[in-house]
Amino acid sequence: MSSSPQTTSTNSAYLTNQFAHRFVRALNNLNHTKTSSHGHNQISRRTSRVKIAAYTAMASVVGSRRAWSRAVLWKIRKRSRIRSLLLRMNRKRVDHKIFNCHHHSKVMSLKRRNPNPKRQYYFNPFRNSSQESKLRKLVPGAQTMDSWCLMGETADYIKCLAAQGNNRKEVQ
Amino acid sequence: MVGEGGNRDDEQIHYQSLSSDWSFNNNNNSNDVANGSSNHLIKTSCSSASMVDSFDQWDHQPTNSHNLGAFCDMGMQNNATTSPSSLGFRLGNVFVPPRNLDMCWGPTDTAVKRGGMLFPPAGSAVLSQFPADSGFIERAARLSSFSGGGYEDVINPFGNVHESPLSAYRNRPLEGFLGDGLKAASREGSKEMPLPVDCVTDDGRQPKQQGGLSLSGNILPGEAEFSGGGDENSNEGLASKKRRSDQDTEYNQVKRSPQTPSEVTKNNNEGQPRGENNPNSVANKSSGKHGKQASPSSDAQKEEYIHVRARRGQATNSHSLAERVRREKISERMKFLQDLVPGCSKVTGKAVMLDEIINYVQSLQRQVEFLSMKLATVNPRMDFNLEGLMAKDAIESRLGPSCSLGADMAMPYALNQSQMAIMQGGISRIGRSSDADRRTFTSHLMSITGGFKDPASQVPNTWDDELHNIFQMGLNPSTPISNQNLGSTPPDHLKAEP
Repeated sequence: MSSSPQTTSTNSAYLTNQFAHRFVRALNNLNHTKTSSHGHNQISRRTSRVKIAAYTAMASVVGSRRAWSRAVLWKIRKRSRIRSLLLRMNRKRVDHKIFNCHHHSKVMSLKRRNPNPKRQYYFNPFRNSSQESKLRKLVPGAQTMDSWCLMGETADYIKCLAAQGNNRKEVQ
Repeated sequence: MVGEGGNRDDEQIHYQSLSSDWSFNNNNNSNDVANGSSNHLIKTSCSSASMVDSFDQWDHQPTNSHNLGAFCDMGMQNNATTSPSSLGFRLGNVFVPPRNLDMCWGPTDTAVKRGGMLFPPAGSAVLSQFPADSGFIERAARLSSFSGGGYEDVINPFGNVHESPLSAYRNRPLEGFLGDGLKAASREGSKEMPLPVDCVTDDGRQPKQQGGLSLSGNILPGEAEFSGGGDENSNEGLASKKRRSDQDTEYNQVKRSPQTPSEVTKNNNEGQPRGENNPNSVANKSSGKHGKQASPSSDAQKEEYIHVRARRGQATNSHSLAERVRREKISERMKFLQDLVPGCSKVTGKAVMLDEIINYVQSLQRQVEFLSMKLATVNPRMDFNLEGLMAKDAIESRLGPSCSLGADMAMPYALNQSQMAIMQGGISRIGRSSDADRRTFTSHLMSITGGFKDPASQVPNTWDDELHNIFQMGLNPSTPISNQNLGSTPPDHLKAEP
C-alpha cells in the first residue's frame, strides 16, 4: 500500500466533499420527516437520526467497495425496513396477537442470509486476540474477516471516520 | 480492501502489461536461443497431432473466471505470435490456480496448437496421452512436476538444490503485491501468468531461454518485470529451477495442484541472481500455504501465486513460510495504520499499536455521536441552516484542505460564545489544525447567523469567483449561486428531495 498515503490525500478532499453533500441531504430528509420539539426524548431521537444520517452518508460515499460500508448500509437498511414494517403494522391497527405473529413472520422474511458467513478458521498471527476481537466489534462488518483484511478495513474506516469528523465540525 | 469488481480491471491491466513484457522477452529470447532446444521442443510438439488432440481436450476445461480467461487468451496470443519461444507461456497456462484459475485453459489451446506444450492442470490423465516422444515425455514429466505433485520421480534428478539465495524477485514482487495492498493485480499477475518458463526449463540448463519470461507465469507484476529484464539470470536459474522442483513437490504434495506454479516460480527465483534475497520467495511459499488454508479468505485469493522463498536460517516449512508472509503483510498494514492514527509514530509493537488503534476508533465514534448530539440540539432551524450548509459545504469542499479564506471571512462575524467554546473544546480534543478551526468558525457563523443571509451569500460569491478557477471538485457550480435565492427556491428544492 505504498500508494495509499497519496490516495488518502487525494481521496480525503473528495470524501469530505461527497460526505458533506450526502450528509446534508440526509439531514434534510430527517428534518422534514419529524417535528422539532425540545423534549429530551426528541433530542435523543434526533441525535440518533443525525448519527444514522452521518454514518449512512459516510458509508454511501465509500459505496460497496469496503466491507464496513456494506455492513453499515445493510444494517441501516434492515433497521429502516423493520421500522417501516412496524409503522405499517401499527397503522393498520392489526390485532395485537396477530400483530405479533405477523411481525415475527415478516421480520423473519426480512432477515437475510448472513452475507458474511462466519469463518471458523483464519490465521491469527496476533497472540493477543482480545484486541482483535475488540477491533472487530468496533469496526462494522469485520466479524468474519481474517486479520489482514481486518487491518485494511480498519484503516479505511479510520480514514473515513476522521474525514467525517472534519466535515461534521465544519457543518456545525 | 480486501473483493471488488474494480480489481478485475487492475488485474487485466497488469496482466496485459505482463503479457507485453513477455512478448518482448520472447522476442529477445528467441533471438538468443542458439541451440534451439526449445525449437526442438516446439517442433516435436508441433509434429505430434496427438498432442494437439490432447490439448484440445483442455480447451473444454471449465473457465471459472471469464475475465482471466480473456486475459490469458490475450496474453497467450500476444506471446504466441511473437515466437515459438512462447512455448513457455503456454505451458504456464497449464497451471490451474486453486479456485478459479481455470480460465487460462481456454486460450491455451490456441497456444498449444502452435506447438506449445500444455500440461494438465491437475492429474496426469492428460499427460498420459502425450505422444511417445521420449524427449517430449521427459520434458513433459519435468514440467508436470509443476502442475502436480505426482511426478516426483521424474523430477528427482533435479532435486539437489533446495534453498539457494533468494533472487531479486524477492524484493520486487513482494513490493509489487504488498504495495498494491495485495490487490488483485498481483494476484492476477501471479495467477494468470502462465508459467511459460516451466516448459522451457525442461530443456535443461540452457543458459538463454525464453524461460526467463515463462518464469513469470506465476510471478507477480514485479516479478514479471524482473523476469523480463533478467532473461539471462532466469536462464541460468533454469537448471536450478529443476533441482528445486523436487523440494517444491514436497510442499505441493500437501497442497492442491495449483500450488505447483509456486514451485516453478521458486525455481525461477533461484535462477535469478543468487546474491539477493527475495521476499518474493516467501510469498511463494505462502501461496502454497494459503491455498491450503482459509480458502475463502480473500487473502489466499490474492496470494495464490506469490512466490516466497525461505530466508536463510529459517524454517522452510510451508506453514511457517506462509505464516511469515502473513505476518509481514499484516505488519505492513500496521505501519499504514500507524500513519493514520495520530500520535502513533513512536509506538512500537503490535499490541500497543492495536490498543492505540482501538482507542482511536472508539474516540472517533464517540466524536461522531457527540457531534450529532450537538447538531441535534443546536439546530432547531434545520431547514434554514441546511440551506446555508449546502452552500457552505459546496464552498468548503471547493476550498479543499489548504484554503484559509475562511479566516478572512470569519473575522467580521460575531460568534456565539457558548457554541464557540464547545467547538473549541471539541476541536482541541481532536487536535484540529488551525485551518480547520478557521473553517469551523466560518461554517459555524454561517449556520447560526441565519440573519446574515446577505453577507453569507456574499461570501460564497467571492469564494466562488476565486475558487471556481482553482478548484473543480465536481461540485455543482450553481450551488453557491443558488445560495442567493435562498428565500424561495432552496426550501422547496430541499423539500422536494426524497
